[in-house]
Amino acid sequence: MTAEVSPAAAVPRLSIQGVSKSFEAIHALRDVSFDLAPGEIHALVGENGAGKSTLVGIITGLRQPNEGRVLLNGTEVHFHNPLEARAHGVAAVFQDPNLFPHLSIAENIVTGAYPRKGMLLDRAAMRKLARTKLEQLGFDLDPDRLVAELTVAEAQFVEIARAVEPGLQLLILDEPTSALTPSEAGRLYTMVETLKASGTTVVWISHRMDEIRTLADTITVLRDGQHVTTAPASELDDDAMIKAMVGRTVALQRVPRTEPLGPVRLKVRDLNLAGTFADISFDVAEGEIVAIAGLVGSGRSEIQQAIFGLSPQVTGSIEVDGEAATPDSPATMARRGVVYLPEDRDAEGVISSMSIQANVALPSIGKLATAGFVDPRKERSLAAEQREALSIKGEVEALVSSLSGGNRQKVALARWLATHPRVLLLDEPTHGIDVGTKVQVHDIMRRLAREGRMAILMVSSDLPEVLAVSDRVLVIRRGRLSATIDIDDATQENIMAAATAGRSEEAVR
Amino acid sequence: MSTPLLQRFKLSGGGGSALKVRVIGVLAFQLLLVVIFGVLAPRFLSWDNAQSILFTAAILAMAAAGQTLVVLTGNLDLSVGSIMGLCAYVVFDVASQHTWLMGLTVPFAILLGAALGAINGLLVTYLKIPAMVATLGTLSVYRGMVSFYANAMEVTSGELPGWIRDLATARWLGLSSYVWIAAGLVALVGLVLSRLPWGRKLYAYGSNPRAAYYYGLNENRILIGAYVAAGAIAGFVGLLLGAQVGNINSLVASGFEMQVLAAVVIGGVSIWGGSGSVYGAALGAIVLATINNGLVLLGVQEFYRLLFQGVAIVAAVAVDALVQKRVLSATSRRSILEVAA
Repeated sequence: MTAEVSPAAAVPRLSIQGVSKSFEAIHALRDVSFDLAPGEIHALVGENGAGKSTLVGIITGLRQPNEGRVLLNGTEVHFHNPLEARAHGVAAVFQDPNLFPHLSIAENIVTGAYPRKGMLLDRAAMRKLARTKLEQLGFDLDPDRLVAELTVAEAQFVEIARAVEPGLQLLILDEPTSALTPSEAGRLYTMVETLKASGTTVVWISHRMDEIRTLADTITVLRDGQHVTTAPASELDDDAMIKAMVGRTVALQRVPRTEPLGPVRLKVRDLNLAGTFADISFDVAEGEIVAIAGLVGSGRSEIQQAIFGLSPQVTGSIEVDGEAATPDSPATMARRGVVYLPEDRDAEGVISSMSIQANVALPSIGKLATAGFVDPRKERSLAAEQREALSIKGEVEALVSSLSGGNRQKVALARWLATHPRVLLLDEPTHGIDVGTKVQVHDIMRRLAREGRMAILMVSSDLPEVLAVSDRVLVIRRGRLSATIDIDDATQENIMAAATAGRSEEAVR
Repeated sequence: MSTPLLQRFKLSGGGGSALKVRVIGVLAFQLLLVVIFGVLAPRFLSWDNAQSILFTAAILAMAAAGQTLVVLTGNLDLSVGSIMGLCAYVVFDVASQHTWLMGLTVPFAILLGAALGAINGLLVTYLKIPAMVATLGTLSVYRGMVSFYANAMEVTSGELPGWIRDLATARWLGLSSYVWIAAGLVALVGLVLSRLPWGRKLYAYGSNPRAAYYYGLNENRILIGAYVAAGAIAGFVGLLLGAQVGNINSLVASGFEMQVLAAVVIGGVSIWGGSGSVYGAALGAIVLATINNGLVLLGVQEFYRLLFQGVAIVAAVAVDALVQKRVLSATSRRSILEVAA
């Protein structure tokens, strides 16, 4: 079941040959090769971090591959930017709209290729062009409206309208339905079928099994930056697809718990955030690690953020050690002993231009002061202690920016541990970290829960990690708790099934 | 805290309506000023006084028109006052010594200003220096250059070309020539911004630089262009200011950048780029001139004038911040985080 050209077309629309790309030490793509036939809908699937976005970046000229080549209709192409790709009929619509919010829909569609009358912009022609394009695609939008007024779905339609031009060879849609209601998604399906009928190849990146089944002619699975399989959709059933996505070479081991669980530390009841998640209730006990699994965009990170007070409009109740807490700001929750470690460590978790010791000491800086001034000896000894406990490489004076991703994560952990929190919220704790360090971070997490008696709530897309570290798994699908699986019963397959299964009629509104 | 305020004005429909309402807000503020000063100072509501306000506003509006080009891209040009001073002194000094150059003073000032603007643009684009820092640096450098060049001397009004002295005092159709020149310049910049592809790209880039990259817009060309145009306009305005002042020393237009920026932000040009109009900036100049004029008529001390101006700037930017938040939250999924931040 490897990449064979479909018999209908001798020359593939796009041929990816031996493409590799690495960012410093991380291999985002390794020797990926497959073909896309003309006029097909080609689903590109894989877990987060499988290399889909990097591949799209290479196809559209946002990134240059380290090795390998890309052939469009049999001719090798090297796009240096998305505009060049566009000139050759290759366009992509990304998950986050890339539009000009202060400008009108019409202007967003024509920017860069303005219709002119002499030297001047021809506004009438611009409006007409935009209207025609929107109508052809079946989008009912007034071209004079500002993009700032649009919903995310409408903004996405504008991007698609802009991308669809005569002579479009290849259109890449990156999780196009993740923000759409079922009826909006339905319109998109129709549009994609129309494009396919006119000979355009569509790459459809999605996590939703149902829409892949509805649309895709061919499915390509990537995993850990490598190509796993490319097969006709009819030959790859859901189980086989999930297996291809999650199967992994590195085994992370569970360490059975010997210490008993304590009383409930974090109690969450009926947590609701309009348009994001609804009816979320669960407990986390002292000494327990609970994982929240689910697809990106399912609302799992938002649940954590709400518990940490980042979404003050959330409703429902939260108790920490039996005391009610109102999650109206991070400061309130931090006072209750709740600590949050975000996924984007470099932006939010550590201050990379400061030393390890300064980072570790930051949250407890008040306690380190003598007569109002920070005592550098206390700061140093605290940092040294944590460095030892977490086996962080590097001297305490070293700048965090000089550390690897894994060690940065340890600094981020150490920084909060010095304050002895009661509840630890971790978002993707080992994302982008090499396997060796990953195992160490897992050990630290287990020690914090079991010996430090913390309640840990972890969001992770890394299913082997979920299985290795957690005591219980909450699966979120489209903003709702779709399953709670005890770790003894959990498998990658049943977690994945709970995260994706079923048609998605009950959109969260 | 921001949401209830916006909802009270029924702006909850999205950033779009908030953007449209802003210019009306400036107009309303100007009307309010006229009413207040009119009541408090009877002399305020006279044709002579209106002319005086417009004359003051004219120089400011022209400099603000240039600044608008830069601010629309999400940058700023703090060196505008220094460019005006340098161009005024150097051009008039050269013209007074080489009388055959007198006819070329205008193109000379424009070219010199454009060259100084180009330096700003190069610092911001190729050296990637934040605009605030780069132009704060050139503010000092250009002022230092004119001080060095002037060597504590003055160009007196008698040495200026006769026609330019006449221009400064000329009245066309009952209004100062400067008011007409300013109106023409503002209209020209307005046309460039609304109808020339380059003008539209300024808005696009300022609205979302990342999207501009995906759209294949040339960042350097847009930014350097904006700085060159702003510099050229500053050079031209410096010349007019010099002619008005008469005796030109090395301190002409020093500190003018604060007034210019104030006019631009009060006029509703977003300090984050992407929205606002040059007409708004011109209106902002009139608002500032009105404030200055009214407070002088009321015999209010200089200190209070500065205070008032400062409050107006902060208030304008605060409104701008609320609008910008709305605009961003409409098109970004990360809005939860940004609102929380």
